[in-house]
Amino acid sequence: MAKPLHFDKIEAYLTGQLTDEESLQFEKEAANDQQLANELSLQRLEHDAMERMLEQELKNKMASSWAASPPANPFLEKQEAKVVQLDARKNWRVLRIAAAIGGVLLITALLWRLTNNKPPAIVNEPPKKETPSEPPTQETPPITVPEETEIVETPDEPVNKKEQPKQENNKTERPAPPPSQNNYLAMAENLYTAPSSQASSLKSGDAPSEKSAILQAAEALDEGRFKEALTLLGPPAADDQSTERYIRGHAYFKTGKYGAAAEEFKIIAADEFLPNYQEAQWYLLLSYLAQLPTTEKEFKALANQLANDEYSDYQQEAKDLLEKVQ
Amino acid sequence: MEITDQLLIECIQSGEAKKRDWALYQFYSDGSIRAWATNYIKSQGGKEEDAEDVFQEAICVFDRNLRQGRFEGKSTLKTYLISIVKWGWVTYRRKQDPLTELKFEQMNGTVESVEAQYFSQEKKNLVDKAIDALDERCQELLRYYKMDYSMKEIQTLLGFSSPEMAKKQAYRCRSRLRKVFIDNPALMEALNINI
Repeated sequence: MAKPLHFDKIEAYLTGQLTDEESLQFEKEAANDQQLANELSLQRLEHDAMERMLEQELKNKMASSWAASPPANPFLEKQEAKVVQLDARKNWRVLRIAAAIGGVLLITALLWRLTNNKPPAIVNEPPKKETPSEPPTQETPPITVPEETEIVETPDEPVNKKEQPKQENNKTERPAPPPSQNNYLAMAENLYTAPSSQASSLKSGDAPSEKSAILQAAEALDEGRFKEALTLLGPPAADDQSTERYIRGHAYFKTGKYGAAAEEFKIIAADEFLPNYQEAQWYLLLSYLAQLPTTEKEFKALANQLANDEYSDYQQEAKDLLEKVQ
Repeated sequence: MEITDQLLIECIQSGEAKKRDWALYQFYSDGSIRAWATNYIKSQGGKEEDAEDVFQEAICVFDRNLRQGRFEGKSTLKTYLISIVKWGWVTYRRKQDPLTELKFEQMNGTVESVEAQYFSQEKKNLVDKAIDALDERCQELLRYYKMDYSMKEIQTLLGFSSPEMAKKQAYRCRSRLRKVFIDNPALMEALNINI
């Protein structure tokens, strides 16, 4: 999504940030530059639309909410807060005494705790191995990257900046072997990080027995039961919600069905106003990466797009990935 | 606390929704302005419902003009609103009868023309279609943006991970609007834009 050439300048003009002289100069420029004039008209229209939104909201308030409950006086709220403050000043002496008593009690409690608590005995024995009561539910991904596997490079930053803590770049860099399909797969698996909890992002006040299939699938995905998530969601359908597709895309990816994953992520990545749009772009890129060299064309197109998109959250990751793959 | 014009202007221009709402409500609930508007519009051949429509529309233009610093302080705010109602009535009638004449003397010279600040119905319809293409979250974000909320405030209000993310989303929402405009040849033609 390229930013229009004159966006900032026009914005400054439309929002009255230019001096009279600068405004006049800008208007002259616009009169002689058709592209600038077009951008100005469009950007002005955007502002008109935003004004219209405010107007609609205001009319809604006048027509409904203000009749039922008039807006509160914001100055009265502040005055009330001030009254509380003045009362506190009046009672300053009492407050000081109360604070002193509280402090003494706190110190006494701490001293009592220090004198009565024995330090824990240091037991020099290995930790007990816990035996799981039931087999782990996490499915093993089809392509695993054992620790001994030669990893060409590890990412400097986690893929999902918001949810994932930074990974330590403590793996030894070794000379890069010639790229092969397995290397791309390993790279894709290595760069993949699980999305933030899908179940918690789905709001549901339903009782557990009434959970929707999507919510159950989201829980299955969160807990690593990828096949179960796929079963719960069923096969892709034209009227699927983007959340279903997103969950299904991840489940496909983790079960090694990279082509199917790409199809799901591709649909979300095509509409920037869908939830997880940016994430879907990144996971789509990883799905292409896993299928290299078959998907070379798609991979390069998307990687370049992300690397050149200053508004993408994955711009740097895409740049790094392009370098690695090239 | 004395409610002065200066205080009300400051509230409307403050960018704080609570203050703006409260200040606008002072005019909306002012029985004398409303009664005057109703009498005036009735005297000009309008109906009670017309008066309410015109009054609400005038409040919207009044709000916008004050926020954008168009009020020049040549009269009291009350007089200014009344003159906007008058212009609003002319605009309203023109929608129904395009041959309605606009008589400047009706304004008693209190304010400059505000007719241009009323959106034309045609433009409103086209813009409304574009707005409908945005989800509620985008609309909310752009309302805050237009009210000059900082990106930090928008981040907090809408739960973005950072002010930068709020900025990105604001830009994306605007791009979406722009796309709807560009995809609308009638609008582009009306605005003489050649994309």
